[in-house]
Amino acid sequence: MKKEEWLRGEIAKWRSDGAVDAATADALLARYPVDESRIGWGAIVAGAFGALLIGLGIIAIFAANWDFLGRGIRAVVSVAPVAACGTVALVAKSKGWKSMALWEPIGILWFISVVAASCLVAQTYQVGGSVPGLVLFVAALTLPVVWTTHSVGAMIAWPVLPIIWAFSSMEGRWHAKEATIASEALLMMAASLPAYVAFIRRNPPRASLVIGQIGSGLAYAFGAGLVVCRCFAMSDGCVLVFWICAAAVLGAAKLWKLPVWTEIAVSVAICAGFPTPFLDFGFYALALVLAIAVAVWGIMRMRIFLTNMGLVLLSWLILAKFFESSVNFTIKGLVLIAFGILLAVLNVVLVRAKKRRAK
Amino acid sequence: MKFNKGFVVAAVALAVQIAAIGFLVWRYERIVLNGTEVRLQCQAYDPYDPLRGRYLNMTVRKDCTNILFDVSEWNEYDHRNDVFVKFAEIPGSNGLCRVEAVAKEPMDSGVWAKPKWVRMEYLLEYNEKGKDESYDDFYARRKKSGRKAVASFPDQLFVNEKIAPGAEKLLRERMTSAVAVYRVLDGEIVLTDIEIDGKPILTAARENKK
Repeated sequence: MKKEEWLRGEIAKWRSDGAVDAATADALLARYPVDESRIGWGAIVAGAFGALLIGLGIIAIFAANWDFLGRGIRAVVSVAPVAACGTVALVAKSKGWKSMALWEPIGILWFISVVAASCLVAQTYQVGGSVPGLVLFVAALTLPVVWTTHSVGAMIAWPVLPIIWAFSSMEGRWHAKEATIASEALLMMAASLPAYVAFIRRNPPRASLVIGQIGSGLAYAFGAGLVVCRCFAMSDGCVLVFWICAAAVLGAAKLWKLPVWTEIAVSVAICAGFPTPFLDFGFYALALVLAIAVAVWGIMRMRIFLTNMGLVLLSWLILAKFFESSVNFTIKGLVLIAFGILLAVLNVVLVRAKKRRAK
Repeated sequence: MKFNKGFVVAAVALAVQIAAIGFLVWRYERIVLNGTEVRLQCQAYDPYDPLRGRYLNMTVRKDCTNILFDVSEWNEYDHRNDVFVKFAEIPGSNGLCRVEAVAKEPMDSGVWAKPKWVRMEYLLEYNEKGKDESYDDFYARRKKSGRKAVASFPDQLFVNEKIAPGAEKLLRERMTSAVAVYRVLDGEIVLTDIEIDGKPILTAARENKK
């Protein structure tokens, strides 16, 4: 139940109990108006999912049946969904409609339509260009969709295109050309920032905010890390790259008080630490420091997620080395049980402490 | 109707999208409609693109694309995508063509097109290495054998998902009678079909299915 609805119910009760008179009740109700035009997040998600299904369904029908159509008709059929989505967007803009229940599905459908139209025309005319060329073409045409519709789905999906472009353009071995491609891919990813800034500024509903933050945080921390790692074709050093990218996202989260990004940055950094028991000892030592720091930070801030992330990495780092040793399996089993109990106890203690503090 | 900033941005975005995709259609449609037909013998190999779906992948046979000409100024295994090749009909071949010349610009009124790339190679192929011959000796022998240019052309024919497996099978089975049909206009080349025994491959695959 939304807080406005709850408050309305409470005021009605106070009024019937005689705790407040009619004038006070009306004054209170006027102070907390309910936005009747506001549509629930469920409707937005349903609309977005519906748009996704429609888009994919249209592509599947075309792919299976359009062999019998002439080239001209195929071209028209390919472009028609783009024109339709664009027209709806123009009408909505001219009428000043701002509801995300409308813009979210339009954004997703428009995005898919542009991707599908480009691929279908390329298929019809046997355009023999490379995959990176096609991805770049699609990325350039879909960026305005991200900017204009403010769709969270399109905003999350778009940075994947520069990442695919970089991966398909690179050869996976260090070369000056690879560095250029990586830099261009990172700059391209930055092109999605205006849409991200607009998304944060319009103060979206909680669920939308969380989804948007998870998607964008992963794109910038994990996606950028992938691109740089591919560029340098390195294995061990990738850990450092992901830590640097995660630190950048964490820095942004703290500087601009961005929700969820702290958890995303920590998750990426923690996941990057998992391979370190099998790498140089320096990386292992750094991962240990990271795990302890995150666990302590979580305990001090009473943040169960952070505490657990730190503890999981710490346990893994210790256990991975421990299991490489020649210690008896009974002892190894006992140590595993001990770690499990420790993790459970610490969580219970933290939850209780959090409840006490809340009281 | 209000022409606010958001409307203008959306209108420009839509116009650019339709113009870009429309340009793609126009660019290739005019080649397919008005281009000169070039037919090259081809052979099959593997078949999927994550974005555009199933395709028949073929390569034009080397005897159609390898030409002897002066590539002395080229580096070893040099790839060039800024050169043109000239097609010429093979006498008595019923309309089949081969590459006849390579140049930086079209030199006469013949059928010239920009291939995907032209690569310098040695005349002696890798599979001609002697069984007991060392790589150093083979390499020296290759260098002495002389140089040739190898041209590569668009090699993917995108096809319907349902018909693709049959068409691919047909292409592999009738490799010797497969012909890649291209259209060339203003130096651009587009693959329009693959023919098996003179029939478009999709028609042949459908008939074969029945």
